[in-house]
Amino acid sequence: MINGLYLATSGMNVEQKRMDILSNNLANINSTGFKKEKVVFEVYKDRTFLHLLKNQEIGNITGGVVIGQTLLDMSEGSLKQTGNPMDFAVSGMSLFVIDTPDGLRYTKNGAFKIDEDGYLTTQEGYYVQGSVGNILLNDVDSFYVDESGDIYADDNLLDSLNIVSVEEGNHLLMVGNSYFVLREGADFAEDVPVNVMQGYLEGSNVNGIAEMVDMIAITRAYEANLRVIKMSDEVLAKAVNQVGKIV
Amino acid sequence: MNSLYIAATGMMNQQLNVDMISNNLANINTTGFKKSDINFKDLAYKNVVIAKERYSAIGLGSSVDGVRKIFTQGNIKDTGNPLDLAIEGEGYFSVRQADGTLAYTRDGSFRIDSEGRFVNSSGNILEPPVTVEGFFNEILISEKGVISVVEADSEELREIGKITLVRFQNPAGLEAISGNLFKETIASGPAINDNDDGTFGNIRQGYLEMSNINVIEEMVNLIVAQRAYEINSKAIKSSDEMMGMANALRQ
Repeated sequence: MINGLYLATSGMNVEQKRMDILSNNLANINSTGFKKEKVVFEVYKDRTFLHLLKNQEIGNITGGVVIGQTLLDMSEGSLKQTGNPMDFAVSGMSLFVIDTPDGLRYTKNGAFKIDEDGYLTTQEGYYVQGSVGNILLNDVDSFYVDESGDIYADDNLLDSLNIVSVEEGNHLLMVGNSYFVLREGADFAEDVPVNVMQGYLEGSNVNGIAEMVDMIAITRAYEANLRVIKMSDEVLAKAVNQVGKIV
Repeated sequence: MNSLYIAATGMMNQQLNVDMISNNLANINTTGFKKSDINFKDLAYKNVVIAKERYSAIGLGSSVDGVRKIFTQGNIKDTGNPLDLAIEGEGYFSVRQADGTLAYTRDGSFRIDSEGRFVNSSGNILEPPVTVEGFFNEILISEKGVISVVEADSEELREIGKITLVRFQNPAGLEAISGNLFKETIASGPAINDNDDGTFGNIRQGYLEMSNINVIEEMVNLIVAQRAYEINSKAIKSSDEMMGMANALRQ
């Protein structure tokens, strides 16, 4: 009986964390290049119950539920045409490389600008990486970027965008400010065809309807767990107050 | 519960988004106005303990990545007024403000003031200054900016000055000030003077450049912003309900 109380509590805790993650997805429904997180549950340690007198196994009981892992859903977000030559979108599992003070970071957010020294940077002012380092677009009247990420300035090949790809979303970890890092032990995929689109931005892949449905499910699951706690409480109350009572 | 605060960041950002769209729409008929756009990004991630020695990162919401001016060409409107000038291309007119500093604009609705000087609609003097003297029948401004007048008495064509366009290395770095004007910043780089080869743009006399706002695009952005705001408010409501339930656990 007491066990039921704690099991239901673990369920409520998980639903609360799920709600936090869902809220983060929703808060970023309009964030450029955002990838939504999905929650995977895990059953916490099975325990074997023994019959007290016969010393026989009765069966297993789970110790509740925890969040196993959050997975990145790398499906493509909607493409938005901006017509701005400093905006880039890159397909599928491919990402741009940015040199930040914390080291190299990867991003799907291609809303870039040119800084006062003529370098291509993010909105924060961190350098977008080309084939050999920062990309200098100084004294360039016009430039365009083709599908493979090659940058042409005044019709001459100037540089190419450094683009990396991963095999699955699991290899990436979100660290905020639209940056990703590689998870420990993961590697970049080789020879992945890339498709860079200039003048487009990738929206977030958060789907409002799916998140609303999840939100309802979370609230109801939370409520159901709460009812279990209430009922356990009532049963306990009976045990404490009524069993053994001389009427 | 973090979700209350996380969803609140989403709502606040969408409020900013609507503010920006409102400013774009309010300036839909402003001559030479350039629209802004806003980008969002995810905020930091926090590690939370999910089990003994196991952590999971939970995102803390969204924040603004940056607001940019978009310098695409606006529509060109035929006004028939010989002192209305539109630029086709990436150039800017330079004007000197009352405080003596230079500012730049795409708004080419000029007029001639009481002293015969070319001034823009708010009275800032064209740089370099051009002054009209005496009476004239007609004023002609060429694609390259050469201003000529047809004299009233002799009916001769006389050149009186030239409009020099400027451009910037990085126009997105310009600072927008009121009155349709921009100021140069470190980010935009200094103004580069036209070298007469027409790469900075051609001047069209009798036309004005309207704003580059696309109503449909703004309306779509507005719908997206409103729905994003709404869905975040739903997350707050759900979190509130969940906390209410927990509160009602022990009556």
